[in-house]
Amino acid sequence: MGGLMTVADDPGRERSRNEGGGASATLARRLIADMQHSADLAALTDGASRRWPGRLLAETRFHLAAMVNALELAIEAALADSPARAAVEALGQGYSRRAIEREPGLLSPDLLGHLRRRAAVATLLRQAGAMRPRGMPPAMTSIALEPPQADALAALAIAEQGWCAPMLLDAAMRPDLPAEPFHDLAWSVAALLVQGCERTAEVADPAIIRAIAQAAEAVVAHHDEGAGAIALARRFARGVPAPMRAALARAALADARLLPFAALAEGETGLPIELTIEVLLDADDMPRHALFRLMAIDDTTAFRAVESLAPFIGAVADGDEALARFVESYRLHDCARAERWLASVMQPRALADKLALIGHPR
Amino acid sequence: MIALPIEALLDGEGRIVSAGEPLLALQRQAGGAADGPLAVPALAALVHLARRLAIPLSRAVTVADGAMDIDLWVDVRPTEEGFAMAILDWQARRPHEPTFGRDGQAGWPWQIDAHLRFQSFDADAATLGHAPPRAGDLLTAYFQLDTGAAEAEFAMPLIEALALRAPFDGQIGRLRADNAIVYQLSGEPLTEPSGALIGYRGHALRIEGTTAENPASAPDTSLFSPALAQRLDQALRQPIGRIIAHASTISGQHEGPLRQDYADYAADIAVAGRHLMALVDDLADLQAIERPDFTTLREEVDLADVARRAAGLLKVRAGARQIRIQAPTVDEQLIVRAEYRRTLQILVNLVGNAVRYSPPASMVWVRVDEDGGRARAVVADQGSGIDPADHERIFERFERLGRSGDGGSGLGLYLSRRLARAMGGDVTLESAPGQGARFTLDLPLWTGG
Repeated sequence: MGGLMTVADDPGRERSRNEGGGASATLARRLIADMQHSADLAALTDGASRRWPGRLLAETRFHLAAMVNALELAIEAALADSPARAAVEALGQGYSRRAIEREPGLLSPDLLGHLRRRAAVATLLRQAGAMRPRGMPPAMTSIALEPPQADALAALAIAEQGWCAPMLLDAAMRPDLPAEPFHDLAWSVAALLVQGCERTAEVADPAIIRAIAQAAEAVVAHHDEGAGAIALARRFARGVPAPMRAALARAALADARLLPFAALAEGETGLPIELTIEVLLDADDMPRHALFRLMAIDDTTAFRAVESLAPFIGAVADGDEALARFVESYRLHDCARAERWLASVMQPRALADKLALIGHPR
Repeated sequence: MIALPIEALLDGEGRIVSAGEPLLALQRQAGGAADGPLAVPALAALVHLARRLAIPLSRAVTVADGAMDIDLWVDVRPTEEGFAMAILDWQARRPHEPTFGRDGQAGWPWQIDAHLRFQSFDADAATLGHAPPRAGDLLTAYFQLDTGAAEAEFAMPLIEALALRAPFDGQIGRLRADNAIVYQLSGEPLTEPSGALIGYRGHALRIEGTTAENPASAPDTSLFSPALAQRLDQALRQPIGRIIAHASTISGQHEGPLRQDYADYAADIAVAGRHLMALVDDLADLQAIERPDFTTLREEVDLADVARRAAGLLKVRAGARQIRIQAPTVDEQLIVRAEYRRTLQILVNLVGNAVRYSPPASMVWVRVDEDGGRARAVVADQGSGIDPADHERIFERFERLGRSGDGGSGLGLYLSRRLARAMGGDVTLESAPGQGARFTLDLPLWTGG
């Protein structure tokens, strides 16, 4: 399990000194708290029947914590000077992050799904940056783009870098989420703040609840999903001239930049970005074969991509053999088969479910 | 041309208060009134979501417009009166029309083997309007590969794909029989279960017009893009160098004794690595030679001395098969105008080929002489000889006359001839089956500075 150590925020601080003594006890309490939240997340995701390995959990937990911290700050700022602000400040900085770890059920499946994809994108970016040989430029930079696309790609790169901040649970990260998960998370934070204020107040004050709600509304109303990395990836892909898409998609995959790859794939295949990233993280190789074939990915790039994705797709345990198997079976996966797969995933969900019920082959 | 952004104001119930004409046209097509509720489903859904969540939205939606799809990028922002909508991008396209990577493209299908020879195709003269290829013909003999008007980044998709065993698209090929007929080739690699490349299959799509102003005088542009050459160098040279070094260390048992069969495996790996390195060198040379600005130096070179050195370099390899190389004697001298390094490269290639294809315990002769004001170096062997019908073909790129597994890249003779011609000379062949081969390097004599 990829539990994270918190640096500044110490759960032990809330306890009396006689609960434990010294640095080792403090450290142990931190680790236990981290493990507990990771376990909660893992339990939630088990219900979604998706692979959620330790590295992904650790990254997810960091993104969740950092965006909750940012939302808490934003709501607090929107409260202006009021009794409500004083009540929220009294909860202490990072209250919502600790509280959401106690209430993991607040996280909707859609939000968890987004966090998982976001974490995968960020983990691969960190990994690619660390593993690229010194002096070797990223593949995408070798493709000359006109200024509008080059600017869009630069904006996307900046947004991607925001996802790769140092993994500190008490830091803040811009919650550049699509509207629905942003809405979900913002109101989750608001609810936790209301709950915290009520617990500390001797008498519940409706004015405080109202003020927090209004502040959360203001935060939600000012959200700009168009400035988020996913929207920027889509804007970038829309502007890429058709003859350049294949080369750029290959380069994006070679650079382990899942967002531009998925956005280009969306334009090419019609598969939404979110689904494309899920396909890349799928435990089953077949959808990945089909996606790569549809995107005209060569064997070498496919191999490198799967090597990068290995920790998420369960290919690590079998080592190089699994990678070789992947490429061998990829070579046998022709365009016609990939087209059939695309047709099956693009058909109405209800039809797919019914066909699955009667054992219709994919 | 649609002026962007296209703006609209909607009331709290999603009714149009005001809107730009393109949006109103979509509204009318969807059966809605100019002042009625928004009737374009994807846009109405966006407004509904913005209302439900009380949140601004900025995202792509696709709407139908007759036979076309229109991809829009739309901002929807809740306001005190309702919603402000802005369409920031408008792209019309056919519904989900892929641009690459699919089967079923127009054009006739073909399949070639790893030596680029046609194995099968589905085309006849009546349909094509010209003669189809014959089974066994080289693809490069049927089509003259061309960069056309393609960007320099991927000048020769087929050749680049061949080096990387990747699918390719957009390779321009002119019919050699009729230069005005131009095709666009696309294909994907065929591999054995073991991963070995066994050929390509794809489609040839005839395209209108020509890709250059004057095809007959179209410059012979670079076979490889600089990007590929750089990639090959980065991707292959260093790792292969390491493989050779490590395998040589293991096979030489420099780090301690080793089971003999393991040492032999390592020796095999080192040999294979050297072959690969030679191929990378050849490809790098090819990239350099095919550039329009490629030139050679004009130096005073003793052709007899170069011939002796080439023979000396290959003496060990020849000795392993009891082949003797008879080189010019040390007192012979023949001064030519050429580049020393390139002349040595040509002669090493010619003598190397002679050793490779000579029977064990035979002779290879390397002679130099002067004839009609020109200098000649002749390399003759006692091999099986080459059919006159193949005498020109053997100088083509990647042409190996069906031989494989002998460590050659199919580029050596092509490079040798190109280099010789760049120095004002040539490489020619005289041979007949069963009578050995006689390659002649012709160069201009040195006539002073």
